Amino acid sequence: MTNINTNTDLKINCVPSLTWYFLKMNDARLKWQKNEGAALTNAVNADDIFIENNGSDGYFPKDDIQTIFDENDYARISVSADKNEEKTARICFDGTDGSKAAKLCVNAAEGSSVTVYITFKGSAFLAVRTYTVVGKNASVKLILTELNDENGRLITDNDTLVEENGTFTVLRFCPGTASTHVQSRVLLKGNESKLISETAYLGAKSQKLDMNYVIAHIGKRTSCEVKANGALDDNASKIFRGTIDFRCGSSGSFGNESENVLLFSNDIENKTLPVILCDEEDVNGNHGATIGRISEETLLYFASRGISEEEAQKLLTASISDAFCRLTGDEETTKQIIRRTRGDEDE
Amino acid sequence: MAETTKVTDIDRSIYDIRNAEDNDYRMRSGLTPEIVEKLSAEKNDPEWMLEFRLKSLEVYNKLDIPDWGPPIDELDMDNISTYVRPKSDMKASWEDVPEDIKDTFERLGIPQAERKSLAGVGAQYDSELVYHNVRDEVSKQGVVYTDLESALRGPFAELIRKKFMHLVPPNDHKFAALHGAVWSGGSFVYVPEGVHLDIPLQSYFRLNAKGAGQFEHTLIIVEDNAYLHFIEGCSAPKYNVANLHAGCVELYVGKNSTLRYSTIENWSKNMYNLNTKRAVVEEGGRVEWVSGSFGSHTSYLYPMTILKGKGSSMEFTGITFAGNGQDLDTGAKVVHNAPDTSSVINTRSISKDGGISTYRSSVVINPQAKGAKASVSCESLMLDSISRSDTIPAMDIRTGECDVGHEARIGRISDDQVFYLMSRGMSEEDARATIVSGFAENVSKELPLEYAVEMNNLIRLEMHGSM
Repeated sequence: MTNINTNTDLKINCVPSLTWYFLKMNDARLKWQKNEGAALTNAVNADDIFIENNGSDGYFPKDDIQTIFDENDYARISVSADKNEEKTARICFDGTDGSKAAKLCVNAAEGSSVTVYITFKGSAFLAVRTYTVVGKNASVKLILTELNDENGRLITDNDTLVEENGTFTVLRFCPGTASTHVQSRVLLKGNESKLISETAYLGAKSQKLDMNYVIAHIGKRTSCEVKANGALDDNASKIFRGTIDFRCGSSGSFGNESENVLLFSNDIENKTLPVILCDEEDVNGNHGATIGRISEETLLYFASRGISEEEAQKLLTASISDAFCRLTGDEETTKQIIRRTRGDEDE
Repeated sequence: MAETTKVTDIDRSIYDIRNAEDNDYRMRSGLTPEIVEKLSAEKNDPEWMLEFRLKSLEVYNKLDIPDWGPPIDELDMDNISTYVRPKSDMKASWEDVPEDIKDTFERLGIPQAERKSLAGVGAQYDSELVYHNVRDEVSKQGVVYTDLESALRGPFAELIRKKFMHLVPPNDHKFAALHGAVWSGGSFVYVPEGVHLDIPLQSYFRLNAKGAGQFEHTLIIVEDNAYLHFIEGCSAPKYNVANLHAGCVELYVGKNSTLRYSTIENWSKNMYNLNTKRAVVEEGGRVEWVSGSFGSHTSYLYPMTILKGKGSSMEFTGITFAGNGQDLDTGAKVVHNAPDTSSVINTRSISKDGGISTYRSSVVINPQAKGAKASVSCESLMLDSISRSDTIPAMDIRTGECDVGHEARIGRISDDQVFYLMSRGMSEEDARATIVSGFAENVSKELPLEYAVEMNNLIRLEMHGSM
């Protein structure tokens, strides 16, 4: 167990490959007060089938995230599906009555299919660490929707192991909190294992969003598609770190990252660190990013239909959450997002 | 008969010719205040320069070796001689340069290039310039091209004092501090307002001494409404001990001026190339970097541009070819500090025979750079499964009024392309070499013809026997 002092800096969201320190992108520093997160009490399916080590140790850089759990009691939640079983679960991490910490284990056995809808609520600090094991020919879909209050603070840390021909899909909606730290580390271990990751985010006021996605291709013919689309306004800040790591032996693999960021204010701070590490010849890795204001062509298109720049901005912002809702295909999630982003009247 | 063996090193016969070390003076290895003082005395430095060197040494001793790049643990400054003076002072005629040194530059083609296509040439051998000349018609336009040490004592002394290591201060990083402490040789170029030099100037750096370092400083000032193309070449014979190159280039580009800075770096594969290059560009000015990195054991090389004036721009075009035993970490940095600035970074890297190539960049757009545009494109080619290629580009954007595009791609030579060329009668080896040359075309087309030919020859030599 790590001994820490109160109000210490935790180093989290570490990139596997460092770059210049002056950029302040190699990791995130989080002010952390000891015993800040108490145990969640409303644990769903709580049992002790908890996989501390899902096989990803040694592949990713160490960080201080464990410290939060070492210093607190935390809930243990598991969702597991037996062979060829289909399962759906909905879990809400609610910080309305105080800060919480929890570990969630999602375990999909061979040929099974698991969908977990995860929501976050309240204005307190929430820390959730997820371990996901996607078995052979299995499929796991995590849909994470942040419904926290605008002054809420959230850390989610996700370690995933995908076996042969397994598919891991993670969809995340971040409409803006005081601070959100997202880490997702995926080990595509089995041949033809697959990751689909889509993140939609909106940042305004002085909200902060800090993302670190690391995908290690180990098996042959593995693939990943990582997309992040968002808009920043006011003093919002965001950092997107995305690392596609083709390990030696991952021949025939494919990895693609793309990011589109709309910038609506001159006071925003947008950082992007898209990394491709390649230790294998027979792979194909791509990254593309488009960052900036609304294009002149788009504004002209709107203007020719009588829509002002301000209205166009609102429409484009709404289109980000609408696209995410369509992606989830889930009515309840759609309702929650509409309620969070536009208020009840539009539901 | 088809070749099946791997060639582990390129044919560097031209570059690998070593001359016997017949130096006038060689500083003992290591880095101490006494050595720095001795070097300063040897150089007949002004007093402020001695103080500058000693302060830089203090900074050097305080800074850590970077932990984010290729390993440089085997570089031991206790085994590096920081100053080696050849048996020749600076000459203005090749005829006066000692025979062995002149032969070296003849083989590298420098005097021929001077006759054919250059406005002036500087040739550095180990720690000192041995040749410097500039055409009369260029001098008559007011262009100054001389060695930095002479310039330090001439009419530009005050200007140099103001600009020297102003863009790259010693506390920038450990090897900038090292450079500040032990710099020696290099060129000073001054292009007056309104002067447009149609033909390039060139500096060529040759490090012959075993276990030595080269720390030349290049300072170029291009005043307003002017144009200059400066070419830099470097090479060294290979030894079984580490050599070090920690040069520094500072470029000042005036209003509405353009400076094109081309480099073909072909250091030997025992060289640690820890070079620092930086430019500041005033309103409407432009800097164009063309960079080919072929040699070195280990490289840290990221030319940086500060776009200071409104409407200033930069373009970086680079290629890196990492072969057996090489770990080359290259790229570019740009800081947009003014409105309507623009930058384009376009790179290619190739890894082969266990070589490691890393593309690293940063694009920073500060709040005042409204209307800035930046475009980054980096492509990497892996030629076998024992090599490695990484891309680590970073973007930091602090204004909404900007447009930034980035694309990166890593892959291998397409079998379809090889098959297509082979179906038209090419051998597989030639087909692959042709595809790699095509991949590198973005750089070769930016170079003067003779350098483009040299670069393509280097690629062909690297590809030869790679089947």
